[in-house]
Amino acid sequence: MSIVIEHLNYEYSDSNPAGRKALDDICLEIEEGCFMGIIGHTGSGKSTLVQHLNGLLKKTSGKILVDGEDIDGDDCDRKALRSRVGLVFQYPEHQLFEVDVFSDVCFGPKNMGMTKKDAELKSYAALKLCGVEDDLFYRSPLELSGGQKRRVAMAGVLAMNPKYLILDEPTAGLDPGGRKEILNLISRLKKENNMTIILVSHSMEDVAEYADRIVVMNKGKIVFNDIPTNVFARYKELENMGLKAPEVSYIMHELKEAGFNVDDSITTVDQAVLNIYQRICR
Amino acid sequence: MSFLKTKDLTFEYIRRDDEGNVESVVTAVDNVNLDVHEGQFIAILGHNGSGKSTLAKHINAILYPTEGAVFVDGMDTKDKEKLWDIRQRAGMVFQNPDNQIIGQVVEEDVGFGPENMGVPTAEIWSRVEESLRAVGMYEYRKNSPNRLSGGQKQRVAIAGVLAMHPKCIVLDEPTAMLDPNGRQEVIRAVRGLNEVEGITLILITHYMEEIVHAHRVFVMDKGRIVMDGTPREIFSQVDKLRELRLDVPQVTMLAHELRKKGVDIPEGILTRKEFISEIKKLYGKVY
Ligand SMILES: Nc1ncnc2c1ncn2[C@@H]1O[C@H](COP(=O)(O)OP(=O)(O)OP(=O)(O)O)[C@@H](O)[C@H]1O
Ligand SMILES: Nc1ncnc2c1ncn2[C@@H]1O[C@H](COP(=O)(O)OP(=O)(O)O)[C@@H](O)[C@H]1O
Ligand SMILES: [Mg+2]
Ligand SMILES: [Mg+2]
Repeated sequence: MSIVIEHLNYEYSDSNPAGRKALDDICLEIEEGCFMGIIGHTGSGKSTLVQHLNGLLKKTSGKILVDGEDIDGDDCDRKALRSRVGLVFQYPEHQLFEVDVFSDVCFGPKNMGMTKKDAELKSYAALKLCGVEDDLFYRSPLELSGGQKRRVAMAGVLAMNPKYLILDEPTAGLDPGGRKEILNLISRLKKENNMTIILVSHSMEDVAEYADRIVVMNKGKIVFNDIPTNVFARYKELENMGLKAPEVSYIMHELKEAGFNVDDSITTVDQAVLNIYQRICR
Repeated sequence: MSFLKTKDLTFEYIRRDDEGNVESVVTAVDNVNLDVHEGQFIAILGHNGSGKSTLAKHINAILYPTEGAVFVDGMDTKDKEKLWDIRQRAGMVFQNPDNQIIGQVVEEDVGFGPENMGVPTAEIWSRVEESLRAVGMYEYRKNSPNRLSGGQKQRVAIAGVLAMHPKCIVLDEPTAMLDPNGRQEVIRAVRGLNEVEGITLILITHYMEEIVHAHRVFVMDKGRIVMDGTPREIFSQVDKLRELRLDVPQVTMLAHELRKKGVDIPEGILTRKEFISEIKKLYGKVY
């Protein structure tokens, strides 16, 4: 089972002045159980792409299959699709609209047809999982700090227990501690619940550490689709697209240039500590 | 010269029910005393909900102290007559770009501030151009802002503040939605304004590497300032920062972890260059 995207094109109706498609012939397979990172400059089409996967945007042309089912087919159940493919929006404000936090999270599961009691149990569990404290439950979503809003929006999606979880820059605005918590939570959902994760991120450090595969978008097209090491080995090309490698990769390159025999394909701090210690310090 | 001073600043968000009875009180800023000098680059760190944005909103008189006082360029923010002077002197860029863009066309939006201030038309255009170039959005000047992606919008919002030529810019997570390149452009642009034109900078961020060049860093926790020092002093305290839900730049962490393994490298390494030169000092070949 997987999500398959074939020759997907999308143009916003009020097409942008460059006359460019927001998505240009996208072909991609997202296998069940994988953790896929999507990176790309702002405006490269990441949000546009992920909004197609649960039917929020309608393709201009192409085909999207979720577990074999054409999501634009006449017999596709949209409600079911939205709970199977959960999307946490880039701006949590766009997702929060109920009077208080708890009702907001309950909305999704209730809307799916769960009983009030089940919906509330699910929602409570999801809020706890996302680290939202009880004393926020009856506050208006408008009265939360940026980071708190994001956790509530995420809980709202998790309460529907999606099979595919898409997160559009979920850690933007979170404090570093919160970022680690959310990323660890996501990778636990993948390992323990076999959830498939699609993470759109501007943090090269985060995708390097957590993703199994990275898709790189540039001007509406997919330019790379590979494992993190291979993607970040092409850091010069990434720089030309407004991206870069994690800081630690540059350190490894510079050490190598300075004549030290280190592995310059490393992309995380933990690997770097070990490698530098073994190759230089001992 | 002191530009911003807060005196025992406390702010409470008070919620009342329909009858006006107090339902809850959140003390978002708790007895904060700050003194920021003109031309300084100040960074404010702190976990989510620690009170950073609430504090920032006092600097250009969006919020007023529940207790204590705030002075901007010598003016008490409670002085209603000084409201526009204060807002011109301390421009603000918020977390969410959607709340700040009003114009129908990018260049119009950026020109809005100076136009309101009564800047002559010819100068408005030169300010608009210079500001848009500074954030890498000049080629989008004829676009409609609401058709831009999140990151693009944020750069326009920053240009809008730059065009007011303020004495101080308060940036509340300006780069949270930007790609690495956009982040770098914005930080470079605002640092340039600080270094070249002496504009006071108050930067709130969750990206630790953005503040290694700050003159002074304040760390907030539950409404209070709990750490205060240079980036090197602050980033030398990895464990304490972790307790406060913060972090250090990757290069600082790398050095810290090596040090824990017995390598004789100092704490508080801030840049790649420093790191490489320390490693060379310790292990480089002697020619
Ligand atoms: N409009 C509001 N009404 C009531 N409480 C609020 C309001 N805005 C913020 N708060 C509360 O005040 C405290 C401080 O919030 P603030 O937005 O200043 O935090 P912050 O440090 O900017 O957080 P973040 O890093 O998430 O942006 C939090 O407990 C928050 O829930
Ligand atoms: N609602 C919209 N209307 C018209 N154009 C849009 C809209 N949203 C995004 N675009 C355009 O589509 C392209 C892709 O944007 P987006 O998917 O938001 O990129 P990303 O998420 O990678 O930053 C950009 O050129 C952007 O300007
Ligand atoms: Mg986006
Ligand atoms: Mg804030």
